[in-house]
Amino acid sequence: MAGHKIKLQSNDGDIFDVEVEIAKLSITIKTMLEDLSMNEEEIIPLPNINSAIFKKVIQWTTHHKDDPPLPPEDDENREKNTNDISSWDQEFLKVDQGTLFELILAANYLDIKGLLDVTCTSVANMIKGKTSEEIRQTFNIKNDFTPQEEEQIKKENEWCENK
Amino acid sequence: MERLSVKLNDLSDEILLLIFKKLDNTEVLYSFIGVNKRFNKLVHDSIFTNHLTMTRCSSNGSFDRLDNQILDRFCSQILPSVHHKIKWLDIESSSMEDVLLCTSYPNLCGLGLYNIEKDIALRIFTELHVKLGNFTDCLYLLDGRFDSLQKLFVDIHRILSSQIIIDNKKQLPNLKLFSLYSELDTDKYNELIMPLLHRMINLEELDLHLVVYREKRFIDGYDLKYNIINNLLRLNKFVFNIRSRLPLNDQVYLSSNEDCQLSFNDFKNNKIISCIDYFPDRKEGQCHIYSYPYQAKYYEYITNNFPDGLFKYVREVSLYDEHPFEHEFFVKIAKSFPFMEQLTVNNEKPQKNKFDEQSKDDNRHLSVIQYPYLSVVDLFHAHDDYVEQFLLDIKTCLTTKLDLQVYFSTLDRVTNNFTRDATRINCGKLLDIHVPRKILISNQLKDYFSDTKIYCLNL
Repeated sequence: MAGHKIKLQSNDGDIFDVEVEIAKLSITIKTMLEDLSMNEEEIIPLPNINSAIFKKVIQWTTHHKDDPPLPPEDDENREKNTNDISSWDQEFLKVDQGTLFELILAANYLDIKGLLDVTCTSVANMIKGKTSEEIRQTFNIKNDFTPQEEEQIKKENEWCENK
Repeated sequence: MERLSVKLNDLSDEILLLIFKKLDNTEVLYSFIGVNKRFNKLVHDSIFTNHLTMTRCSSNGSFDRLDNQILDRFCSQILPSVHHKIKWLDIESSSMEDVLLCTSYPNLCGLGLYNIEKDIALRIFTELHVKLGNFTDCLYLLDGRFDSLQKLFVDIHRILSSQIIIDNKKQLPNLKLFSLYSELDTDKYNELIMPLLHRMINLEELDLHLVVYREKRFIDGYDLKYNIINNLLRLNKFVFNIRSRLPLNDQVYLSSNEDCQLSFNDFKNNKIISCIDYFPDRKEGQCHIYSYPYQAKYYEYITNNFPDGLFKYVREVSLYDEHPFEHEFFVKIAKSFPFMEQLTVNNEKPQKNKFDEQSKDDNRHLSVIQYPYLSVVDLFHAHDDYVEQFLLDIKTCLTTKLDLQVYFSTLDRVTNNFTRDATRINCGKLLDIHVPRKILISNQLKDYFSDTKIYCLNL
């Protein structure tokens, strides 16, 4: 029924009233409601999501509530065109890296395929064309190879460089 | 407030794989090889190294050279570190030499070459593996445009005659190896296939995999000798798998399997198996002859006369007979085809020696059959007894989920309206069932197929 709401609680204690139809875009929440027969007065805890991120999730699901379901992904024919992000989603994803990764974790936990898809696409676009050094700088990754290990890798490929 | 921020490196492997799947394999390798130990290990997985496309696809759909900086890094560092894992490479012609010479590719089984000049292609192609829609395409390939070909492997969907007239007489002196594979019946063995073979005057190796419809005689050793061996004087290796079919009428010569086996007496260096069957109801005979060990992926129309053997390359099997297949026959099939994935049973005759749960105590010798790789069984044209054969747990032990293709009404009968205990365990292993719309999906049905997807058919 449209307008019917449930209560969802983030891990920092905030309680959100969310329309059932929007909440059910999350397969995790949908399963809780259907399989565990939770009633509307019960507060459903979401121990892996803080309120700031959950607000963003609600914003995304509200905007996308009428989207048709995504087709199942076929590994053989997986879609590589990573530029396909709608302008609304591009605007929505103008966030710092930490928020973007937390959104990915939330989408994964809540099992919202569309949100997971678009956030992963956004990260893939950040990766495209970058060298390994640029990847380290962009994503603040420490190079944990020892100089000896690097030397070993270099040696293994030396004959190619000298050809 | 600055909280502890999640980084790319904090994401699980599962999520990183989702992100990497949005990129081409070359992009993943270029960006992540050498970043740190974890990413290095992750992107060395075969899903990112099996198939590499070393081209840039431009907006107009053409394949361009990769940027020099990217290409240099691939040739100097990336390809040498994953070379043994690469199974397929797509390359653009101007970078072909750099990519192919920078390392070795011991497991490469496919190579896509783009923007290649015709002259270069003609010079380097001495071997061609190709799938074709029809026989005419094969004649086109051998009309002189690939004169340097020495080895040709063709898989032709169907061998039919064509309205287009193409020369099938010009000699092909360079061709040393020819493999012809066609799964569908042809009646053009003498009209098209023999003239083509006779053009290959210096052929040394021949592999024929055919189903042939003939009017008067089966294809046996005499036929192969007269039509092929006597005409190809340099032939030193001849491997074949030929099933010939014949209508049963007054005009045909009905040979026995002993006759057929005798016809191969002169064949050296090869073990030849023959198997002849006559089907009075269908008014048809079939003769299956093949070199053993058997190389094909399929073995079709196996009857009760099946001569045993081990067929380790076969993945798809079909059974047909006008006499019943008893339990022991299935034991033999499971043993001979240990890697069988798909099985079709065509047999309308009921089993004579039925064992069911009532007679269990009297038949303790009955061995339960296991099919470790079987995933699809087609029983649309099989008597109910063969559905029972696969559903009774005293006869068949299903180890994985099975796609059992069978009518709902048959399933209903065999399981006594979904109440029979002896079929309950195996029914629990079925992948899905399709229920006609007019049938109510009862709780009894749901309970009986508790782990099976139930689809409603729009009939």
